[in-house]
Amino acid sequence: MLKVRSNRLEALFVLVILGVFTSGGLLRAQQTTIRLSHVGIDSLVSYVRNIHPKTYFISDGLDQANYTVEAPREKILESVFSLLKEKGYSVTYFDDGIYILRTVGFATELPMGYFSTGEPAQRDTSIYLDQSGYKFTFANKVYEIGESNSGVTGKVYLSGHITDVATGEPLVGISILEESTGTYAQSDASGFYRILLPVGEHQLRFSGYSLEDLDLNVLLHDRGTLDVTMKVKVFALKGAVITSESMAQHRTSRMGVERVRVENIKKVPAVFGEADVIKVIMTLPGVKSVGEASGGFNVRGGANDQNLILFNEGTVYNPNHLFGIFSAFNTDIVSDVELFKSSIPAEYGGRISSVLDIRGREGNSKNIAGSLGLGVLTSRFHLEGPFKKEKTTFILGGRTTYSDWILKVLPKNSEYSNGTASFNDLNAQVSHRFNQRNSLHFSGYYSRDRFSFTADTTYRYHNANFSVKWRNHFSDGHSLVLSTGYDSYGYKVEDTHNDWSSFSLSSNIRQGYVKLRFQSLVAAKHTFSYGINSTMYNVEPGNRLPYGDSSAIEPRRLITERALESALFFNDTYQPTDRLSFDFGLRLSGFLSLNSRKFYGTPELRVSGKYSFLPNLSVKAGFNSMAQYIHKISNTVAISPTDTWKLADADIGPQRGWQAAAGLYWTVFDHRVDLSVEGYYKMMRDYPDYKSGAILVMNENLAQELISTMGKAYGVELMIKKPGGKLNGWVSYTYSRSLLREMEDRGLQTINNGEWYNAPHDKPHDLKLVGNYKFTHRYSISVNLDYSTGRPVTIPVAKYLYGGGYRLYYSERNSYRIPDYFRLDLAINIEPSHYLRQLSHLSVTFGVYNVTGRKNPYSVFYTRNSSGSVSGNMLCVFAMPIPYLNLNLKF
Amino acid sequence: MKERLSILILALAAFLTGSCIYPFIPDIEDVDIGLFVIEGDIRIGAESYIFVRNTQYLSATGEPVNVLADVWVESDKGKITRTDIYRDGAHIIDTRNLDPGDSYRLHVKPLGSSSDIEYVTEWLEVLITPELEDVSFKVDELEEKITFHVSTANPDTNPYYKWNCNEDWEYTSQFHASHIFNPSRNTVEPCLGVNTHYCWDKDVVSNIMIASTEALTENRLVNHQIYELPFMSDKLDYLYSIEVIQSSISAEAYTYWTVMLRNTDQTGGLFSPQPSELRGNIHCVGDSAKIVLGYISASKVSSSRIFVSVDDFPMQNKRQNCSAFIEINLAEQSKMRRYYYGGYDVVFLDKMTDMTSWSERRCVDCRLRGGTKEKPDYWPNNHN
Repeated sequence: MLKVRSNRLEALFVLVILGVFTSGGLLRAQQTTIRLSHVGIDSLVSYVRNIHPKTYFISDGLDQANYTVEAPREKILESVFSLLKEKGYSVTYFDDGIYILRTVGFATELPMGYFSTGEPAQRDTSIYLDQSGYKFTFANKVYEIGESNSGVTGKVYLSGHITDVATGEPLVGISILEESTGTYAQSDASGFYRILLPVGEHQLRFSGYSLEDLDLNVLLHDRGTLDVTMKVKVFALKGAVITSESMAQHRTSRMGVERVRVENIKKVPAVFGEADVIKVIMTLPGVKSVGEASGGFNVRGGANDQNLILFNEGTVYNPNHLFGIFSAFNTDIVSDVELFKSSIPAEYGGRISSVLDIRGREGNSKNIAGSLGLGVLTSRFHLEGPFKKEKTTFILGGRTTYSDWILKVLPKNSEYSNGTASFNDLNAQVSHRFNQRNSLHFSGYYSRDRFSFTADTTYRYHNANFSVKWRNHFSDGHSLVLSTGYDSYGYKVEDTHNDWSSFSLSSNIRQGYVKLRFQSLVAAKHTFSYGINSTMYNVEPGNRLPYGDSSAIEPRRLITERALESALFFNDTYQPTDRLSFDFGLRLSGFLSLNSRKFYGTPELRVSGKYSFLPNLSVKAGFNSMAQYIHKISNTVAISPTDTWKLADADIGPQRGWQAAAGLYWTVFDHRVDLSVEGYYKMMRDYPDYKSGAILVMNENLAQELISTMGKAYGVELMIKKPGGKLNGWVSYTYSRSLLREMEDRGLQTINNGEWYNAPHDKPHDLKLVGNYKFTHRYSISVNLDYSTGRPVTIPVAKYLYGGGYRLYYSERNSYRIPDYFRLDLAINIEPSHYLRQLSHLSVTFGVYNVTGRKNPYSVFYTRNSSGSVSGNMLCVFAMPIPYLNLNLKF
Repeated sequence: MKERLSILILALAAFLTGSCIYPFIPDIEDVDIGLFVIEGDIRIGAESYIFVRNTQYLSATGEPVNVLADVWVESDKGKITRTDIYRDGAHIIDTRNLDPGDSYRLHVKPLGSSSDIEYVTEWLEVLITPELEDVSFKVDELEEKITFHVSTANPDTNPYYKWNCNEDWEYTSQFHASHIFNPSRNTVEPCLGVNTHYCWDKDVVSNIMIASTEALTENRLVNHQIYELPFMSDKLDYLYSIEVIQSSISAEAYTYWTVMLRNTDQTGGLFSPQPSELRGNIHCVGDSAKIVLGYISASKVSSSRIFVSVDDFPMQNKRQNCSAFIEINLAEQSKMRRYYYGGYDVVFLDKMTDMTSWSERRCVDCRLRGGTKEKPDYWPNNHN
């Protein structure tokens, strides 16, 4: 019943093949030679117009070149057009007109009607770019959707997919704005957009970060499809209009959402040159860590297990490689990363601090492509391409390390000299597009780490995820995303230092989930989405087994914990006027421990509102509440390889938290610079801490070892962001606090006597700068600067002689701050040359991590000397400038 | 490109060889929190040594002052055993003949503190320690160290063990002097009486050595490593002896020592657990808010001793950095005096030529390296 009437644009919008054109009977002339000598572009176009009156040309007035053409009369147009193409114009035959345009990315329905696919415009770009206000507008072209006599009135749906013109990859997060009505939409993770517009003529602006803006004139007669291809801005040196980010900022009421595209991730200098998703996240305001090379991150004062890390829908429990020096995601197969630190959409839940959603890329739907990367510690490859062009694509990526040597070169008496360390990860994704309305995505991920510090103890851990996702746009206004998958995380320790007591210790989490989300565009400015999430957990808290034949270890397996977490969510986005917009979300989460038959339910509220004083000046406020039913059991401050996770049960309840936030957003300098101020206040309850001497491994009565703490965090984040241009990047300053307090009174045993104390990641002042400056298309430099107050640690207040040596007495928790952290990184990026026909492109990054060589302490602690006294020490992870060279070969 | 890369790798390797741990003095005020620390165990069947000291601020130099106190052991039958002797800071209580079937508690009343302040432990059951089946050492040539191991089995169910070790070692000076210079008479005389070649020194192993057999199918430890010494240790010079004192401890004591180990020896690493509060089993009568440090156990201990000789492991080059001999003729008395007062001494005398050979005094007198001539009475050789 829902017959789609889309006009067949591809029939109208074909390439101009001049052979066809000339034989089309338009020219019937004698065999004379025409010579046009030293004519300007306008004269040349006038001449063409004499032959073909419906020739359209938009002059940018910048082309001062003189053209000379000589050809037989019947071939003169062919020659003019090929000359123009050489000079960077596109020539499009459309309807009965000829359109001569500067080559700028625009296209319509797939297959793209784009003239010079993948070809670089060989011209002096600086002239073009000086014309900063220049916007390509296909002013004379109107895309008609539906039949003009359809008789439809009112509002109709226009939808379609936005893809990259070169690779066919879906483009995520593209803003679509209809200016006259102020209707706004954004493309989803599959590049799909949908907008509800009144019948009639509209101008749509498509914009996305690092893409050429695209303005299309659309004449809507009826609902229909308009697929759009956009082009990565090759010439985005300066002046280009970047509006997507700031547009999204001023259009939606959501706050504290940070999206980073992988191109940016790759530019930020990183230790050993390995582009790193999580390390880039840490350059954003409000995100901190307890120290470099420490696994995990803290968002707005939350603990590191309160972040939900999703990779293609699957939960990743340990996002680290090599003790936290690297994160476990290969940037070659990542498309973009979104961090929700304040407004968490109702579809997400299960953690009380933030959501980090990492999306894998879809493969190139046109050609086989790939890359090889060579770094100091790691090498990686990826391969992508179509199984069937435009229909089925794959992408495959892998990384491996040769990091053993790094431990081998450590001093012989250091505890690591007999160590080994290695890691690998592997990703694969297959996407199939059945038709306009249906697509299916398979994603698989596996990462593993293995290391040992001494010859007789080996640690291993792994993450594995598999998911299938079905997207269906089942009617004009409605779509659904159904995904299901399986996640697994586990570690294993083998200790063989004594035959009699050799053991292996392991713990695993396995979970299966189903997520169903419906979205409907109720009205032009009203979206309603709803759905359910359901996760079945299976946690093996600990298995200790004998290792080797002579081991007397008693095999012991703690009872497997099982639980079901489900949530029903609703989210309503309503924009009554251009100025006002609301987001109201409700998530009803429920958790049933199948072991103890205990049920916990939490209504979680996710609301935010926006008011724009001006199109470029908005205020927002929001409130979020969240619940977390799984706890990380660990008394280290970083994510450690032997952390186990514990489900809520009859004795251990869920953690709950809320956050209230407000912000002011101002886009200035002709939409080039975004200024923002966000403030937040956050509370949490029932965060687990541990009694002194608690046994956390192989303990089936863990509840007896736990104590509940409450936390409060507040802060202000100031940010100046320039997303595009020759100089781009951001600088942010954050003032924030994060405090904890024990909820019970255990007399003398109470932590800090029941007073508030600093959380381990409480670093009040925090200044971050990420900058990139492009000298030319090929050369750019990147800078990364990070300053923060030193983190609090517990250091002793006294020493005492006991048992033949000095021992340390600790009193107030986290009352001492280690010295402030400061780090400056620099990198020089050399992009491949733009001879795009070349089969392969080598990009080179040379950089130095910690240029100033500052000895940033990770911790400050005391040790006993052989002489019997105690002395202070600090542990620095990267205490020297670390140079690196990274080679990346694309083919 | 590959060459450039390998150069970079080398450069990086050089950077990383630098140690990651640097000395650092935190900028904190020295506050004397002045808590009492009570150390020692009630050792049934042996003498109990109880020490009472104060905490010191972190940068304090020198050993803490020993506090004199009124210390006594009370049994649940009401029997009170008081300190017999106070020696070297230890309150020595004769607990040799106490009944291991009784429960005991320790009372400490520091002299000079107000009359109502008294520190008392909980009631402690006496834990009977099983015999040490074996104490042995292994030579680890790969890591160039000697490791010490114990084997024991407890017919009882108590799975917690603690060891304390006392070390004695005999060492030598680089040269065995045959003669000695007599400054009062400016003569070189044969060493008769006391030689200065063999000396003895002793130490208490300060490592916290504990183990549990909880995870095992039987309450037995086989070759459990408790301690190690690198080949290059000064203690492994001529003959080394270690006395291993084993005691059974309670679950609470085991937790206490585990936390102390964590707080003192396992801090600061990437994955180090956070330090935590450590409260022992002593409380203050009269002021329950007053914190006192220490954990007192009551047990009947067992012990065993082994020796490690320099011949047991590969020869190490442990020359004491002595300069070449300086030859002085017996006639050059003033030169001899000069060398004598400059820190040198005679090694031997060549009577054919009247030439004396001199070296640094520390190379001929072992006492200058910290030890004494006090040979432990159990020592198996007769060097004096």
